[in-house]
Amino acid sequence: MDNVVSIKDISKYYGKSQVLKNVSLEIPNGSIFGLVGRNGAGKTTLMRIITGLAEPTSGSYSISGVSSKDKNILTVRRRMGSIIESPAVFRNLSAYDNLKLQYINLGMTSYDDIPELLELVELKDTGKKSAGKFSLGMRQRLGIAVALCGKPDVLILDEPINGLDPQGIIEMREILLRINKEKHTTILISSHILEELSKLATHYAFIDNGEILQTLSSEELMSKVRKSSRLKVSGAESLCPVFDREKIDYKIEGEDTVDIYSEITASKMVSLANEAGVDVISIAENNESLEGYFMNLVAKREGIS
Amino acid sequence: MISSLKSSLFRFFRTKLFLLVLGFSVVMGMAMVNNTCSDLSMYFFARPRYFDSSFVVSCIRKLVFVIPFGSAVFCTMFTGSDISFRSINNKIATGTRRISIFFADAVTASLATIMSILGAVIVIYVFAKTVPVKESVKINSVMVESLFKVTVICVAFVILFTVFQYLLCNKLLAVMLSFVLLIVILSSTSIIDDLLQRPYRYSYTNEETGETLWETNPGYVGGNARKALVLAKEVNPYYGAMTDDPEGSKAVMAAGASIVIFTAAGFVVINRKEFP
Repeated sequence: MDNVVSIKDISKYYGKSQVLKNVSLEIPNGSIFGLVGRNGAGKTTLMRIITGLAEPTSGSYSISGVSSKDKNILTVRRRMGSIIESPAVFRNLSAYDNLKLQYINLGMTSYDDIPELLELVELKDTGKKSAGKFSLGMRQRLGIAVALCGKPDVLILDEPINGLDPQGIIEMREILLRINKEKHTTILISSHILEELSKLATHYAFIDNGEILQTLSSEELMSKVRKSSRLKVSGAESLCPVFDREKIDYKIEGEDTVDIYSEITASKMVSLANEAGVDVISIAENNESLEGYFMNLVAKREGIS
Repeated sequence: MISSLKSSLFRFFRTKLFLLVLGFSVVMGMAMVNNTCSDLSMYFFARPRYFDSSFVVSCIRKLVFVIPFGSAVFCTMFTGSDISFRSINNKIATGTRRISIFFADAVTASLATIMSILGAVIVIYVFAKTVPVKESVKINSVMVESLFKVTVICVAFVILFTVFQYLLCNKLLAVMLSFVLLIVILSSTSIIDDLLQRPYRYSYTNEETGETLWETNPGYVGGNARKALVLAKEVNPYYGAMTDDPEGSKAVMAAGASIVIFTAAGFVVINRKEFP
């Protein structure tokens, strides 16, 4: 199966306010899918719907090929783990007992995997210490461990790095990458810390005001946001033979625009353009960040730019 | 269903909430003994001479006034915490049926209530049994019947309080509502009794003639209003628990019906609720 979660035309109203507008999304199996959006964009609502915590007003979704309207959706959900907004752990129970409780919820009778899970999230040495005495980072990691009970195929994580210190963010990133790599778990993760998300995600969906603005792979995104020099010339196409011969990484963006990703000097660009018989009008640094890219998308949608 | 129940029971015992329940029941048992001794103009622990089974029955019946308050607090600490810690979301997101979650929490809260009643009854019984008196205390049918009545009524309350937790998703608000409800029902018991005891006619003496005159009481509650008040009295849990009248069984039947109705209401609430 290519897509582990498929969302089709989901809309959600709270009273008269529409928080999701015909959202459609495909989450590939084995991916780390980043859901990017501002606060109030609809990320949490979408995740709550996928996890069964909220019902869509219209539209449907499927998990592992089973429709949300199918009775078997509850069985499929047993193969899902989630953290929505904050880690759902009992503060008066130890890390071990929190995991044991989730095992019991899942109907599992063997608790042999618990030490392994605690080791994965680096909470093996917490003993009988109650989760209420944990730092936020430790509680987030415990939340991940609870979500991992029952070896889920899909993890849904809503802002899992919110409030973490830099060390905590690094630890969380390493854990998620390890889970994805070693356990082949598909991860849907939302965050508004885009630079951090860019170190994890293999796919992205940008959401704003309840609408999906764009979905793309990390390669596609990186090609759009990576550092480049933007060359305005009299005829961009004429540069191709010369650039190909010199093995320059470039992309024609228009009749008179070409983005050059290879690190070459301005004088070299001019000399190559001259060789191709093209006049150089301007050279500018084109250095768009992930945030900048997202903000441009939002601005385009709002008709500002 | 079984997994949900197991997980609720695991949490009940592992979080040591059951110790709190047992502690509460011991305190309530002693308080009921003290209160009944006071009612009988005896001194607490002062070797009373006429302890008998009716003393124990009286203590057991009075539990209906205090146990529901403890149950309301328990529901906040148990079900309310499940919602406020968002651990209920873990259950829903991993495919646990919502009605199983409600059922498990309601059963655990009922179990805690029954534990607190039985704990208190043991304290009462042990006290009454160990104090040297002429007449020995024996378990009889009135005692068992009283215990049954109190248990059914308290369980009806606890199911309603569980519904409040899911409905409001706010621990403080839910416990306040539970307390207000208990106080309103408690107050209504004496208000209804006062209204029903108003005479149809009352007499007064004419000061000039010395003649006794009779007048119809304008405050008398009659007709359908009286029938409604009589019904309200008969199904009132406190009246039902305290009375020896056969009408008292109506309160137990009402409590039994309430358990079914509140459970159904709980299923509806939890199925429709979007938890934070």
